[in-house]
Amino acid sequence: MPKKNHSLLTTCYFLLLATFCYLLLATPAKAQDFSLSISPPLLEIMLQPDKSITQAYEVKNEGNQLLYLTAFISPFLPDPQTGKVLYEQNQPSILPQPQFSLNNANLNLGETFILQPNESQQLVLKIKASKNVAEKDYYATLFIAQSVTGRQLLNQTAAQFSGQIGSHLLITVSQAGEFDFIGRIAQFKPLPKIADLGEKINFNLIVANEGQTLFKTNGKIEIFDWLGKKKKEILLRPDNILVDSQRKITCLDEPCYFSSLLPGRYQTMVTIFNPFQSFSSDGGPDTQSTIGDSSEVERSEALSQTISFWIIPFKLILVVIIAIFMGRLVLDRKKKKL
Amino acid sequence: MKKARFVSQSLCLFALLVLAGFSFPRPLDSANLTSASDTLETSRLSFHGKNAEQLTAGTSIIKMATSDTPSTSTANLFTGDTVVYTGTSNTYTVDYIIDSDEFAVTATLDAADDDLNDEFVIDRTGTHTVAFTTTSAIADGAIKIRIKADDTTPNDGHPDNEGWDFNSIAGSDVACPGDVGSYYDFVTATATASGGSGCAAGYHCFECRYSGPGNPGESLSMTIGADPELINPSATSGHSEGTADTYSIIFDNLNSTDTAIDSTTVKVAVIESVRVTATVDPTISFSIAALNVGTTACGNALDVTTTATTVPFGSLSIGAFADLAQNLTVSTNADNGYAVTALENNQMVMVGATAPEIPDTPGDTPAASHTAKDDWDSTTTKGFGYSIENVDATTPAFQYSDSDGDCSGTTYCAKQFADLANSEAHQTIFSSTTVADNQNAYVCYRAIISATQEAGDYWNAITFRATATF
Repeated sequence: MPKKNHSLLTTCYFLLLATFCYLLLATPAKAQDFSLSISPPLLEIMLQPDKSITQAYEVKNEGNQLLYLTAFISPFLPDPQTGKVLYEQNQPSILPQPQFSLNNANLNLGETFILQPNESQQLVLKIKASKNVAEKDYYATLFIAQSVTGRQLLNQTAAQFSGQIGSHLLITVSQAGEFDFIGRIAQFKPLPKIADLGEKINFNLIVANEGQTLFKTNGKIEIFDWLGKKKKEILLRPDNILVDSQRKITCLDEPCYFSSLLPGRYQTMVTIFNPFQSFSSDGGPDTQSTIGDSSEVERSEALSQTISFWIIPFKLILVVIIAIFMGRLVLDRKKKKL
Repeated sequence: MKKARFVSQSLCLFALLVLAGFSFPRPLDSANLTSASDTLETSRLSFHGKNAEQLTAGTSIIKMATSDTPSTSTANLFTGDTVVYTGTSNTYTVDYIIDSDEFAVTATLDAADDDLNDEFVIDRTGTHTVAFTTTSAIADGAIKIRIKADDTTPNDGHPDNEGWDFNSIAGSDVACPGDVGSYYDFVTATATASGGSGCAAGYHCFECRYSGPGNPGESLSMTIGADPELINPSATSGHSEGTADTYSIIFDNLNSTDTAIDSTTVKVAVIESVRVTATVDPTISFSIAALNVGTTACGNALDVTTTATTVPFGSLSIGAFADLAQNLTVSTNADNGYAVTALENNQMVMVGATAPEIPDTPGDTPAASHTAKDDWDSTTTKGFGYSIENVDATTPAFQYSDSDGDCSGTTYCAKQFADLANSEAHQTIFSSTTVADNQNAYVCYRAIISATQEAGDYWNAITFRATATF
């Protein structure tokens, strides 16, 4: 009997030890993340009516959990004031669009597909402009959305989240591919209009598109001193301005500002080149070095506006006035003492 | 027998004479300059090709010949190279390489440049830095460097396939060695193209005369080319890609009568550069990750661990906020950056019903909406809302610590989620206008209920969208 007990104890001891070891060596639990990528993130195309194109998208599950995903197209319009994206739920009138479908053998838009961790799926999107589609711009986003079916947590209050990743489609339907450049500089002003020496003057630039197709803001801001000599040239970032919208434009490699230690009146000219005009042989439109030179022909095809601002040495003037005032005060006191 | 003896004796005598000749050689008058080298600023071959066919009028794509021309493929072409058509002197910039015999330029070709066999070149110019050590003390002499030249067109300003083109450089483009004490006092250099006065055809000559006694063992150097520089050769006839073409450069130390006393020859090699190409696909990636209980986000220790897909508030209190959070991260190489937006399907509503709801927070003022932020520090303000703590995103829409608008910078500045059921549009929660490498922000969720909130489980669904900006 004692022998039996001893054997039982030994067995229990080994079982306990094995359990302890298992717990020690168990794989650490990892938080489950949603992580998804799509390539390309943006597609800009020009399409003739009654023609179609295909574009392959690569979708990859970068996370550590299996994902149920759905691909769908969501048309959008640009916000007229900011150019930001407004989706269909807020803009129900933007249909009809070109037709979108997937060329994948076993997958259609709106159907769920599964991606294991680190697995990729190629989606071949076909975009077809019907014969009678209106010749204009169409904007949409291809979304890859995480499918969440029902509530995942029971018996408690919770917010349920799903991630979506999107690739914008900027589609221009045109038979001839010829467009007039109808843009407008909606706002171009310096802030402040009168600055001190060395103070930064920011340029606030808003460009509107009143034409039939999107254009990019290829252009520049040039600052000239009172002699008409160019002091600085800042290239604009070539952002897309969608049809019937306007957008605040930023500069390419640096903020849109100017500062100077030389007082005086400065003139600033913004030029946005006609994106539908052919370029000169060096690959870019001609630039001009002074105001009013001979490139009027070139500029007549571009948008341009000139504004002016002043740089005045306020602080220096103040210091001089205070110095004069103090000097006179000291002199007056000395005179009184005498 | 006598004859045989005579022959053998003659042979022995001849052998002895030969041996003596080798044993007592006559002293040489000239010697090699030592440590001689020619360092090229660039060892890339120049390019010399021609149109393979009558090109399409107005094209910007050039199809080049693959035979009967020094350069027979695009292997030595690079984006940004300046192509010069020799017939017209028109220049074009290489935009991209299409394949082994086609490339694109950034502008359309002039009609005078699109004919069959129209020749074009790309000059690769660079300085030659020559260095050597003198062997003898040669008084009032000169250092003369001879660089291999083409026999037919050694100075036409275009690459040649037998040597360097002189490119009309002048003596002022050559830097002589510095003066060395009383031994060497150099004067201004001369540069003479192959076949010119005092320069035999086949080599370009660059000469630095000096006065002084000279000195053995002096390390001297010269730089040939400034503005302009010599043009590197194009590929030789029968050139094999990846195999260098070698040329001779001759160093002479002349005496006062222009006789070479010491001399040496070095070899230099020119070869195609390796064009390294890689394709980086544009992409955007977006991740939502959980944050654990106790982690500090938006100034609060989190009450419950979230997951990537749920924010489980559990049982809500009427007297204390429940604070939870997730970590949202975006990476993109899209030039114009990205935007992350959020939208809820509805206010939090009882499961399986359309009412009652836990309302979106009105804020303490109350002024909070999906577009307006407001302080939310008082537990008497009930509802559900969110805030943001920026980690390294470029532009968060707002932050929990904001002190503008209706937020005073106390502890928690909040907004409502945009509500789809109320036809509200997605709202940007953070964004960037340029490329982003793992930019992230914490999105913090806060909820508190009133004493009259009907018991039950409440939920809603929130969608985060990440898109590239155009």
